Amino acid sequence: MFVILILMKRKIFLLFLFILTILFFTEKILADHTCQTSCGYPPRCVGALKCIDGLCRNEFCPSDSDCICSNPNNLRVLCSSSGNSVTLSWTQEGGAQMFAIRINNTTNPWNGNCNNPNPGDVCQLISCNSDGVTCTWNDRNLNLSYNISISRNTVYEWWIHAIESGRWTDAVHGPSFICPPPQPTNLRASCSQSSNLVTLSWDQVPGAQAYALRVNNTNNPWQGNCSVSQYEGDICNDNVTTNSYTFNPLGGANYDWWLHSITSGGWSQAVHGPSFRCQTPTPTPTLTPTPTSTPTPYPTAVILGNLREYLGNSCYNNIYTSSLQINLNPQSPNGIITNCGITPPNEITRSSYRCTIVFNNQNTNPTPIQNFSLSARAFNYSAGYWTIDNACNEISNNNLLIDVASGRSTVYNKDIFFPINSPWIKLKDSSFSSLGELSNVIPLNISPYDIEDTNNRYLIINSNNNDPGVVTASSINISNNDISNKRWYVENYRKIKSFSPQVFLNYVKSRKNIQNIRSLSNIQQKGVYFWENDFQLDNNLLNQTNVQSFVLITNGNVIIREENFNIGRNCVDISNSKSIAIISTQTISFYNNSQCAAGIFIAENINIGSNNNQGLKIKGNLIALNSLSGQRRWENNNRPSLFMFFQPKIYLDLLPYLSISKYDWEQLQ
Amino acid sequence: MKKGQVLLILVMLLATALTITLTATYQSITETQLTKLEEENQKTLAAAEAGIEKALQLKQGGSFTSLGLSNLSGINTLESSVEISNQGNNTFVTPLLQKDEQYTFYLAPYNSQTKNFSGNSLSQNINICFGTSNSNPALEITIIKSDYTIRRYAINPINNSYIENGLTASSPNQNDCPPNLSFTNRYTINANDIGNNSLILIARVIGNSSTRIGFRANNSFPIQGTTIISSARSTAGVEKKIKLFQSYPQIPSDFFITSF
Repeated sequence: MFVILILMKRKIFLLFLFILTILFFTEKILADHTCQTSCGYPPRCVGALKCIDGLCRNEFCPSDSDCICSNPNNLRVLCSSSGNSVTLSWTQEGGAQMFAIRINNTTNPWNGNCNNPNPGDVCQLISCNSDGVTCTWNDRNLNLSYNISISRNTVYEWWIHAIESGRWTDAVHGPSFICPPPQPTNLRASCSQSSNLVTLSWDQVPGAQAYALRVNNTNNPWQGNCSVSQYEGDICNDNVTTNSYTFNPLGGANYDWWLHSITSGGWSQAVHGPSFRCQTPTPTPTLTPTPTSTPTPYPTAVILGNLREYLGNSCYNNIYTSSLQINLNPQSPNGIITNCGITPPNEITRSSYRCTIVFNNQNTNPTPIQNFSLSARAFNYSAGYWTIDNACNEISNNNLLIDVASGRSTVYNKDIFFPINSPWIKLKDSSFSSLGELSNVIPLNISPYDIEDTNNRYLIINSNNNDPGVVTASSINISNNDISNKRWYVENYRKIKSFSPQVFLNYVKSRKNIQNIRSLSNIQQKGVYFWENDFQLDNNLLNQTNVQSFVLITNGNVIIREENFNIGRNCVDISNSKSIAIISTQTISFYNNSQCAAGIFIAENINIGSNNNQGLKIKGNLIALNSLSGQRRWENNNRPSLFMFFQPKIYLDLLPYLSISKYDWEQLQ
Repeated sequence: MKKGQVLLILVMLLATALTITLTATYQSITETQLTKLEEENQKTLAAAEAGIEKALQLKQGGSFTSLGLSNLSGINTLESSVEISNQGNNTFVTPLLQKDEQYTFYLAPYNSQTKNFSGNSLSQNINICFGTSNSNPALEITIIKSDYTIRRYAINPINNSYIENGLTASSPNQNDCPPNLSFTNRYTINANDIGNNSLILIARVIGNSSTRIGFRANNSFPIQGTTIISSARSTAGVEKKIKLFQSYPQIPSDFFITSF
């Protein structure tokens, strides 16, 4: 290489060096921008951000120095009504550490010297901690506004840079602005009876070049267009150069009037003067009205209470929902104003509510004794309801008689109960593929299934040193919980079934040693065994063989008729369990009183049995390739109805049998 | 017409007829030779396949004659043989895996005769390569250890997040993956995660496309199955060689992933 360079002529060599330099810097620039995805410190991890070292960061840009901000956007200007201050606003996706703001009073050029800017110019660094800066987060967008004082009748230009770790974005220019003047104040109308004149006057607005006056005779409409003739008695004058205006009003006519101040910055908002009427007609004597007594206001009624989770035979404080609506419906709505608030208002865990009911009897005539019905909806819960005496039961009593006329207390303590009626499941250490939609709403207040479960509100929990797997489903509704501590899931996903029990049966018949049996006592060694037609299994039958590991396939139905099948009485101990896989080309059914079973259960259809107060625990694996039926639940819905604890040991024990071979064929010559 | 002209025309006609006849004859001979060659190829290829079948059946290699294939017509059975290879390698590529299929990769030595693991895994970084420019799914990796603990990884391909909150693969460098295949994704499982007690690694394809999965490490992996190479030679001298890889036991994905 160097020999080639030396042999080159000098000009060619310099050209070559120049090209190399360009290539080098081009690569640097590209590398610097590969992480231009997000920066800053949003309050929670969103999107592609991950929690790294306690902060939300892009995993490709794990350190501050990797981050470069996106350009600020949505730059806006809002002038104050006084016209001498302005709020400059913008949005910063992903946030930024600080911003450099530049504001130029265009009566002078921008001198670019932030140490000594021209009078009226602003050149400074600001952040969410700066005076005059307001910051709010909206999802991952940081919305900022910055208030400054300005000179009237002056055009300003402004631009900003976002800064992260000392790295500046390009300047983004906001719209140039000049703020309109303040409104005129102290508007007055003075009639002169002698000369039939009225003088409208107001305080001078500093800097105002003129005023736009509008006077409307209310006996006719307002034209709305000053360039055409006005209705009788109306005035539309855009060039009133003093701070008063005198004219002849129509006798006895009522007038409304309003005014704008005008500068080169535009028109101020309209300000209305007092309505007036000159040359009032001779008054007709009127009777002094009999004073009427103002009714005593009714007391405000208050209904308040706790929000409680109802799980069958137990109730717990707080509910867990992303959407909650509580409304009171009066029997006679005339004059009734209801307003309900929730505590805390913006968090997912809600604890209490308070509704106020105003009976407005000052200008209406509400019914002081009437029923109010409750309407309470919380996402993922059934409709909320009141009960008699706040009893924890499912007997709803959603009408409350409120009496504000008797003088008795108008504070009513009524808890609202939100039931979760659907049973729910839990898995441990497994992956999961739902045959269709996955809906598994786990209540806020749960108890472990047994000592092998935890209080974690995940669909898949995991043991120490174990990881949960991926969940796939066509849709997933797990309330506001997470799938697992890894949060791995794929939605809108349909798993392809390539291997059914029948296909496996055909495979082992052609490729493996398989023995037909009519009794489990025929099982003399580890292997794959075939049972023609239906059969039932219990522990006595299972113990007819001493073989510890085998696969049993049937082309019929299987019934597991045992409370604790192939597992200890505590549904935990599997030290004496056999490593078995039961495979059916039809249905595997568990007795309704089955409590637990150990093994791998694979079938086209699985019926877990039905029981209103007994869940089912499987230690091994449970695979239904077509459907899962049965209805398990607990009287107290705070425990999972099905708890499946994945056991990799059984797969390893059955590796030569519950398996196939894969082949790769290649013609070499 | 003069006699000389007639003779000239006759000569020209004879030459034309001779050319046509010779061309037709040559073409016929060539086609016959090609047909024979094709027959020879097919016969030899079938003999090579028969050698594979026999080796699978007997679980041993050797010459066709020693395998009991001495009566294959037109095959030189003394010069035809089957070789069973059990060489470990530091690269391995699975067969093509369709969507939702999985592959069981052996991290510890497995004895297919005793049906037991016969050693420990080697604690080394393992590169897992997958996807091509046309087919780019995600993977779920499950490692099962001898103490029955489970490590899992959900790995998305570059520029696609099939698995929410999953890890993301990197673009492989030149020597990261098995050669001769244009893998577009590489994820490295750390040696500490492999340790000395990992038995099998199960890689499941998640997504709407298929992929082979490549494994690469610094040191050789345990043998992943049986490789049989069968060479057959016909008596006419045509030789065919085919290779078949039969994996160690594979747990089907449909029988492994909890599903209902």
